Amino acid sequence: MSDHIIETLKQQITQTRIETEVEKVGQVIKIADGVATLSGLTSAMSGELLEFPNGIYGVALNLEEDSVGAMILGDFLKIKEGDTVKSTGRILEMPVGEELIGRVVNALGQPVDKKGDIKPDKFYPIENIAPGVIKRKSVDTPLQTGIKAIDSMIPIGKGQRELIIGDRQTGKTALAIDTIINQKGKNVICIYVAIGQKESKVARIVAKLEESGAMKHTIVVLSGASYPAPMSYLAPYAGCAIGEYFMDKGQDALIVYDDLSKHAWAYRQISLILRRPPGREAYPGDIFYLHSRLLERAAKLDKKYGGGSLTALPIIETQSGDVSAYIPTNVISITDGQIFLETDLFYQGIRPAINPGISVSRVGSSAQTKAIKKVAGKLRLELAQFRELAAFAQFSSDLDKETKDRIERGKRLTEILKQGQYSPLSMESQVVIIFATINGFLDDIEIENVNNFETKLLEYMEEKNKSLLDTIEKEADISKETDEKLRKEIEEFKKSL
Amino acid sequence: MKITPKQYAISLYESTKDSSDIEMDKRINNFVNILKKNNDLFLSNKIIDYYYKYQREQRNISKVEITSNEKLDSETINSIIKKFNNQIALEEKIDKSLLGGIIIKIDNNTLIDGSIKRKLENLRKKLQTKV
Repeated sequence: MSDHIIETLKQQITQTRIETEVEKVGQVIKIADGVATLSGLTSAMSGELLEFPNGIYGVALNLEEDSVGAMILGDFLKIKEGDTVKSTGRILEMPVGEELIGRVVNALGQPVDKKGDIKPDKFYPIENIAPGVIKRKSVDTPLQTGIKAIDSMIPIGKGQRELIIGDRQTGKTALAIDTIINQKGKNVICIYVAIGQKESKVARIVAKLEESGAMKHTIVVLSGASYPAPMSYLAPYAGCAIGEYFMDKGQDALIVYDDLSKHAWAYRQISLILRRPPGREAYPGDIFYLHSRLLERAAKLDKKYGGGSLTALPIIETQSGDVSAYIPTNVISITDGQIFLETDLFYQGIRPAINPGISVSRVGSSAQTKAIKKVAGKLRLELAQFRELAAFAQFSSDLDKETKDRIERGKRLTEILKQGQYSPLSMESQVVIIFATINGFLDDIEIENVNNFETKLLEYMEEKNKSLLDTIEKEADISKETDEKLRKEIEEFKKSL
Repeated sequence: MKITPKQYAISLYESTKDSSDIEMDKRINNFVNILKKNNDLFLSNKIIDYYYKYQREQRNISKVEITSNEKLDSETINSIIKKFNNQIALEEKIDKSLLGGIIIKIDNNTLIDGSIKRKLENLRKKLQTKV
């Protein structure tokens, strides 16, 4: 055995050719806070990978008259003034491949979960130009989140970019994680990019994903709160490169950026240290482009180009509900819609705390299945009417019957849109329960019992009428026949209560 | 308007390049006075750096730094110098950690590393990636 090792080593040593090459080099003039100023390197490209001593890498960001500003990826405390820096002639690349699935990696593609090395299939550039008009196709297939309120009222299509926005502690991450869990068995590769997140939180998420079996189709790109700013800056682009790999292979991918506010902070830090002029809220001038070029890379490709898709769910954290701050307005204008989560609703017990009044999906409705569309149209309308009348709800005794009925219906609708964490529902189950509510089958059920009714109804359907659920799933529509059958079945179930 | 160290260096070079030694002293004296007047004396180190750099550029001289394990004999050095077309300002350095071979650095931005240390480093990298 040892002979064999020696023999192969011998062979390798004799076969490796080591040639002396002419290299372009520079010196470190200044190093501070993860950003270095370098002299020399006259032929460096913007975004070029630079090699510092001790195997540390950096990226050239600022090309000035007689110096180069570079951010350092790794331990910048090991770099000294006067160190020699080599230019590599390459731009930053991300190792991508099937082996990444189920793993936790950092922004450079190195595993951080102690499960061994990852052999990449390919290398993808971290900064990539988004697919052009010719390659794209409009969004036409739904991406089921498994959350009733979203799938019915704010539908998301494959290739869409839907913003999740809200204050801290309103369940933004929970929404994204539920969506990832719901992709189980649906052949969608999910990428969760944690930017500047507490590592305890990420550990909890990974544990939850593993527990629910969702880690088998998920990749976590981690840049923790203790990671240097350049890593947080790169993480979303790295995650996106992984997503593009699967999209180019014709597969569907879903990427969650949690969250882009922290990404903007990381970029602001780098920019300010590089002495780029600060603008509004001290963000640099190209902060809009920072996010627009990232989110533009989400796409649905035409059949001719493989037909893959990359759906993006960016998350933005607002400060006390202020959506008119710089970063929220920027990202709202880039995305194809937003899901607003509100603290007030959250504490009223409406969870997910989605405000359906101001949440929109600009392209998702064309991707909705007919079955959901049929029930959701009415749901939206009734909820809107309810909101208008909700103020009168307190004087219910003085109201005419019609108004009272509306309010009662609205209360029940609000109740059925509540959903526990980690419990995504299939499309057909959603159809059944919303169908029952908008057709008045729940009007004589006490508000407190609505939840109970829902679980029992779904259990009943699952046990006794699997075929009906299957028909809805297969046809993705409510035909006249199904409509009648559904009504009969729900009637039957109510009798059995 | 703020004057950059580079602009100072160029103007100093241009105004002193064809003056006699006595004249030179006078002009440098004047130059320092200007710096003092403009409160720019703190830039003097940078100005000197740029001055040498500009001088080399103008006179078509390359700065060549040769680092080796032990002192090289004049024959070897001469054969290296012959490879360059233009004039060179030579600087020799000794670094025991190279183990052997030489490193040639031209104008602080081009490096030809032929040291044993580097070759071993490259071999290590290649062996690590192959497995």
